Amino acid sequence: MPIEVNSVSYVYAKGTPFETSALRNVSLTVENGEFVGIMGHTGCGKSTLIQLIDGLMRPTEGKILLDGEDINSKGYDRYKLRRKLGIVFQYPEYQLFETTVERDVAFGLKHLGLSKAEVTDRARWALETVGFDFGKVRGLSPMGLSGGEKRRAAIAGVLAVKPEVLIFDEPVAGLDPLGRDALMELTYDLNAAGTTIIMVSHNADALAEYAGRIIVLENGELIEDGAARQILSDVRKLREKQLGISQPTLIAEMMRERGVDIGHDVIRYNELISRVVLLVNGGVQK
Amino acid sequence: MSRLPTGTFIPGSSPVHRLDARVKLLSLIALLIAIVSVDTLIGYAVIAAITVFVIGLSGLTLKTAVGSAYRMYLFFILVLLMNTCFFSAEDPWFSFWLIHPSHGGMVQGLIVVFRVFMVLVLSNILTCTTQPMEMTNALESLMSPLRFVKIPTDQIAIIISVAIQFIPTLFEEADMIRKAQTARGATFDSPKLSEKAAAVMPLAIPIFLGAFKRADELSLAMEARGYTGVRIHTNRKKACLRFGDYAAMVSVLAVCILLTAFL
Repeated sequence: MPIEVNSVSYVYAKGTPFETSALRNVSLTVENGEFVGIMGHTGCGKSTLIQLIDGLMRPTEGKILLDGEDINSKGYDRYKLRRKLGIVFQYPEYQLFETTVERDVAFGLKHLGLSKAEVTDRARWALETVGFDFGKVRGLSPMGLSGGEKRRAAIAGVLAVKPEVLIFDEPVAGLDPLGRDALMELTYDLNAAGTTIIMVSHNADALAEYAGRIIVLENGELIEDGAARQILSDVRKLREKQLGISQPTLIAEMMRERGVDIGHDVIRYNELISRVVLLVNGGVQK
Repeated sequence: MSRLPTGTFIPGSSPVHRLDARVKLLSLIALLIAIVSVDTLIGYAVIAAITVFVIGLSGLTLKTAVGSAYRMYLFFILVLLMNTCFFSAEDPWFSFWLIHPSHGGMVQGLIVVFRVFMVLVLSNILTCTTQPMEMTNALESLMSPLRFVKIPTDQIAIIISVAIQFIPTLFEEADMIRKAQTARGATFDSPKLSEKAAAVMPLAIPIFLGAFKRADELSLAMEARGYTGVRIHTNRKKACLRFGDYAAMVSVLAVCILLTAFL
């Protein structure tokens, strides 16, 4: 189910003295099963772009097509859109409101026409997928959970619909390292199971580990779109654009500066380790 | 948020923007008194002229200055009709049951509509050209004599300014939550009343929780920085009256007194 963004522009508060252009003529296509990372500074238009893709705002100009259908055309079924696309906002824990975790997770399932047993099954599946013990957590109030648990419960609420495309806006912001790894593993597993993932993040490490493709926005314009390895290993350009650089890439660069070249294309930890092991074993010439 | 709410502060550097907020507030009150007390055609003309003059000075577009006042046209029409039909039974055009439309009634209706409209436009100009912070400082300054009768004007001012400052934040948060719930399949624009009612909870609960949490954090942060409720805080911009402020105040007062007394 490809998503096509066709020369889309978005202007906030059009026709007032506060008019600002958030996106300018952005075009891109996301294919089924991709894991796309979106990078860029605060205010570059990342959030605007994903909200446009999710149909929460209408583009000022241009079109957004899902499976070849314009999602903003008049007859388009909004529920179909909601079933196909899920979005996890930054700090999703603020969207919890029901009396029990199970009911909150099932909130999005109301319009799917599922039977009661199916709804429970979905809730069970979603909560277990994010690492909860369904029996223990289903009756608890979501307000009584800890911060990290709240976030997982909120994510379960989005997962329960089983969307084909999942959009994450800074999902790891404010999480501890363990929570961050668990969440990134979750997105990896979902992607491996066929879900398309679009993830906005400042965290170059996380994107380097998991994303296959990177899109870079700057001042509302798309300035880079390509393979993650190619974009994340281009240290000079990343510095010039003041974007994050993954730790393995930095370490490889430091080693290179000290005369030990383990290759220009290292972006992940396991690559760094295997190259270093190779080097120690004499596999790479100094 | 594609349309700006009426009365939003619009940055600018016009003479009206630069005027001290206290002067603007007092001028508005003086003008309101003048509007209510004037009852000759020349008087109304003068008031309309003053309003147009202030709009011109403020650099606001006519559309911004009038704001949503024009959207009350139904209310205006209703007021006009009621006055025309019911105001007086003297010398009616015709009479039917309780309805006695008359020339006098119509004139009365027009006057009421004119007054309400002018009040709306003038207050709108005030809020469009004055930063919320300046406005609270002005209120605090004008209320300060009340301190002698043990009314905690500082706290009132703090409450007002905190409330005003957090309106955009709450607005943004509410927008975010609305979007998040929409993405989960909630509908907020359903024509069915039952669905409309059901849509309130997913919005109201997170917004309230967020507001309480924010209030808690803010009070902690204020205490951590030494806020005790006793007036020791200062304003970033010390408002002091300049020549222009005095000139504006005096001329507005003079015009208003003349209007009230003679027209």
